[in-house]
Amino acid sequence: MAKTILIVDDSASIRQVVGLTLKGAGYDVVDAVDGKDALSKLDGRKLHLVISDVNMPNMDGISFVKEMKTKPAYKFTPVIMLTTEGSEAKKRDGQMAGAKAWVVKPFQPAQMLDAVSKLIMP
Amino acid sequence: MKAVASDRRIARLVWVFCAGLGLSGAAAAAFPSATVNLFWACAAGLTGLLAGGFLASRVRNALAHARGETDEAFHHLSAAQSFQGLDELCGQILPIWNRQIETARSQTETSLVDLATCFGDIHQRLDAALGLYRSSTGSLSDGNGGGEKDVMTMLEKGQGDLSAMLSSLRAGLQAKQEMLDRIREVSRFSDELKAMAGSVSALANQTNLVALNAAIEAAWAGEAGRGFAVIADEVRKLSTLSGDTGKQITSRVESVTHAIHGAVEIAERFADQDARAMRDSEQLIEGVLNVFRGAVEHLTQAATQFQHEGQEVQETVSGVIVSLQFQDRVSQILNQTMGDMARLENVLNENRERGARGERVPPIDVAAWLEQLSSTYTTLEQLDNHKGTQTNAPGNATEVTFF
Repeated sequence: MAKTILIVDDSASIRQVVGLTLKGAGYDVVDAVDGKDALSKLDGRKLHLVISDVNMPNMDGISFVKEMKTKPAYKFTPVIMLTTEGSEAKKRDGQMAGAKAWVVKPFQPAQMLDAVSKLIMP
Repeated sequence: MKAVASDRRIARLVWVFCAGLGLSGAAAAAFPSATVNLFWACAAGLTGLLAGGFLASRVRNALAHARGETDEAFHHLSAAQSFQGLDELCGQILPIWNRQIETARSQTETSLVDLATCFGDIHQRLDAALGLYRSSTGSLSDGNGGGEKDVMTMLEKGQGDLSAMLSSLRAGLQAKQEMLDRIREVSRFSDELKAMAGSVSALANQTNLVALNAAIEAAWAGEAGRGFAVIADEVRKLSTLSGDTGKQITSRVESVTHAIHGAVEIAERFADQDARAMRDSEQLIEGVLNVFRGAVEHLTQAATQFQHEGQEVQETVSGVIVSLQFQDRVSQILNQTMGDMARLENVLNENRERGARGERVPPIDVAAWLEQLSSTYTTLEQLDNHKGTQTNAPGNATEVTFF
């Protein structure tokens, strides 16, 4: 049974390349275009990991992660922030929201898969 | 220069006018009493001259000041005329620029998504092809020699099985050889039997000869030897019968001996053929195994090369995946620029409306504007561009931070 990962990014090309990388490694992928859309995907389905952008319209990634962590079913779902932002302040925000890793774009597929394999829920 | 000369002419006229007044006063005073009022007339003339000069100077200064204000007003008017319509132009051109940028951004994004889809398809097909190749070649090469080792193990096992088969064949030949030796021994026995049959025949001849002599002696004995003659006759018949039997034994032994010799000859011929067949089989098997080894080696090299090329293509696709992410950075830069243009458009619209209502239009705080602009940057390139150290290269080092 393949594990499922939620990708949240307003950039269609990023959703595409992240999905391509993960599907190639045998993961199932669900995607959302922003934080609000991602919240609607938290409908009780089993998610083994979430990869989220930070700067998005409607609801940014930090707010989404905070909101997600209030839901008991997804409280312990690991989150990787994937963003062009690299400032320490933003990273602290991500960490405080509950993210487990911070990946700066552009990402290397091998490094992304390595981070995923380290954090994904069994 | 022309304005200054005009001012001087006007001042000079004022001075002449005042001086004239002074001199006129002096003359009027002089005629009624030329002697008494001469001093006062002179004083009035001098005062008129001084007052005219002072007044002319003030007029000249006032005119110069007025000229300066006129020039300044003229410059302001020119500037206002120069900027006239700029805010309206910005109000109309900024949304157009915004839409043009958005069109370019969305077209780039659409193309990049299509491109990513194509590369994803290539990646998956390559994976499928490599998987199929691995399974069809029985893991000839798994990239670290393991598959090749498996095939060589299989080859060695086949060689062992064939060697075991050859050993079985050799054992069969050995058994045949032993059987041949036994047959040769039987052949020797048949000779003995033949000799023994010859002895029987010779013994029968001797017995027949003795019986014949006994019959002769019985005939000499007359009536008394008649019974003995009957016995001698019977003995002779028996000896004849024994002789015939001996001959038959000899004949049969000869037949058997001939058959045995034939069988030995055939067995020896077959043994030679088997030995040759065994040698030929060993050489043939070794040859087949060598051909198989060569084929496996060649196939393994091809599989390794295929594997290598496949990995190279996969790495290239990985590089493409990294490069495709530039669109996200471009999109963010364009979105941020479009947002700032929209902000400028809003401010200009608000100021125009204030101006239309006759309200005071506040000046734009450029420093505050730039500070707010820089606070919305998300990439290093944007900061570099803001500082004027323009860079076109996106960050290329992937950074992963675990919390």
